[in-house]
Amino acid sequence: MKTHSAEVHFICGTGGVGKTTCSVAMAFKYVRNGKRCALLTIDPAQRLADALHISIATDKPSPVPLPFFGNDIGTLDAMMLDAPTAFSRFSKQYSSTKEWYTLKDNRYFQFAAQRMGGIQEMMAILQMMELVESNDYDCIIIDTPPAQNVEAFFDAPDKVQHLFSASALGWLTSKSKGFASSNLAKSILTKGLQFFLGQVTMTEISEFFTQFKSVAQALESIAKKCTTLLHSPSAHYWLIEVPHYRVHQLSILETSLQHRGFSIDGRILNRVSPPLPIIPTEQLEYIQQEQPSSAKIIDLIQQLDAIHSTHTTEHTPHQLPLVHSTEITTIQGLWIWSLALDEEQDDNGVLS
Amino acid sequence: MGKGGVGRSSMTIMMGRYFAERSESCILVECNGATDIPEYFTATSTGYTPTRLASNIDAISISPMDAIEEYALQQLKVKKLYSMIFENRLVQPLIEAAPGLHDAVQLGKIYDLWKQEQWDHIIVDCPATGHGLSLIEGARTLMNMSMSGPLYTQNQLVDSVIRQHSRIVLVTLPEELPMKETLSLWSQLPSESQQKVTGVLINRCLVLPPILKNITSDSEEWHNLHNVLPSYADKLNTWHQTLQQQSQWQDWLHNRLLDKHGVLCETIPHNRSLEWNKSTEPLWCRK
Repeated sequence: MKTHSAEVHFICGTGGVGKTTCSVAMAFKYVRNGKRCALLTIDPAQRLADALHISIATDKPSPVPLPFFGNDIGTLDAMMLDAPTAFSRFSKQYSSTKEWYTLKDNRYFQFAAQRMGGIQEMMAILQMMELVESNDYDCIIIDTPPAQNVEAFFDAPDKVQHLFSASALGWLTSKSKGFASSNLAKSILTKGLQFFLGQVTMTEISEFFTQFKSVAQALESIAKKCTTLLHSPSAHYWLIEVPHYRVHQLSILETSLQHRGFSIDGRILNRVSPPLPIIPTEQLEYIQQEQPSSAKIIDLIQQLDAIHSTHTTEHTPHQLPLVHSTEITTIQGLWIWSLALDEEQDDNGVLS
Repeated sequence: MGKGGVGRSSMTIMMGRYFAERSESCILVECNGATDIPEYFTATSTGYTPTRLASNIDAISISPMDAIEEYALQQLKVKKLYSMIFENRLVQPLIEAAPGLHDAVQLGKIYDLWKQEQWDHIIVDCPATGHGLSLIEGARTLMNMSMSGPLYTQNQLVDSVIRQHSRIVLVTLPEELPMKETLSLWSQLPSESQQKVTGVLINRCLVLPPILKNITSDSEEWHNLHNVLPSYADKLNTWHQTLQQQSQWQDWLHNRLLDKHGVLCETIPHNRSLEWNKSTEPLWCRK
């Protein structure tokens, strides 16, 4: 099998830890090393565009202008996945003109594009593989969905293979002769689907799967390559965390990644603020005696800090300092912020 | 409903506790197999059957596959038939991928809970933004797809109950991205659902004690503090700035939702107790 030159970095984390912003920071880090980077965000929200403060295309990677950062840097293309668009595009690409003609008007196809269970994740891996196989990039950063959906994301290659495997399709498409099958098992199975979908749509489903055959075969083979890639040394997994936040979910996520046999390349601790210095006992006693009002103020500050604390004592390879969203309002600001990732990069061994 | 990480689960718990303290029973519902709520109550876990977490508070964690199984069993009656169909290795992926089914069956389960009439309130901790949107529209989507059959009839019922008896509470944070996303979520809601939004909870708002509020960087007290403990004075200064930014974003949302559409906004102070400690009635109780 052909090996790819692109390294793929998966940015994982529970909801609300700043995955998208960290993905941009990660991309900047590799851009500084002269790499040609692509950044793919899967979340349907506009976060990437908001983080970069530019508009980003949903159908193909578009270049992010980085004019202020010197000439010896690499390039960055960014893309936000829109699943329905991607589904239509892949279907058109892999079907014959005749098949596409029928498919595009098929009602089941249209519903599938919008709401097929797991469509977001399935299209994400296909889109990712397209970027990998284009050979246009040295480094591909994947901003994964939040913890709960990340399971679905890493399951997607298997799901695509099952869904579009030749045997499942064979069974469905054989019904073009009509639903009355001599095979008892088949008729029971058909009944099962009818419970959910009603008689009318069964005909449409049958038509859909007949015309979808070549697309399905193409998607199945891409999904197989994806499974190989996920377990290859080219795949890197990063865990984004925030101190004292969603510890339980984070450990579930970590275990799940390990169960899949993915080794975590590094952790990024986001939103870290320096702790308040401890006041020496003597000084505190002095303040309490001489300036009781100041002592009260100090006490209040400590209490409030405890509520809002994002301090950490643990050592992680990369720590990104606390920033309020309004503090980073420019792409330059993000660039400077991301410099924190360059420190200690050699400790990991994986970055080059 | 709201963006990921804004504290939807926390607000769900806060609402549950508020009702429970007033002797109104409630069930907290998590979707897509999430189990974040039991941790707060130091309960081991929740599953597909309601679990008691505290007095007047039950919880359930719904997953699409459990809901599909339950629905199919209701229809087929015979477990063996179910196994033949749904545990078939060819059919299972097809059913899992059936468009809109995940949302519809989960919504159907919420309808089942409503029908049981066991609780005064059913509080649903919706999945993040877009996923939450497709959940509440789940029954409608499937109705559009199957024009007849048991599924259509079932979803019509679910849809009408959800439409008549539900209300929507949005959750956000006083920061740029969550605020912008809240507004876009609101505009994506069908107008019928917009009518049902009781308000927006602005979670994790910074509240400065009155004494600290007056100690701004131009005050004498601040300079005194700065002379003794500069880092403490700087911290206080940062909070003042944060407070200012937060109130700007609150105003931003007020202008766009309260003033234009009459949608109430309520600030929730950043604390970890998840108790309603304001003297006023929370917005989720208002009509």
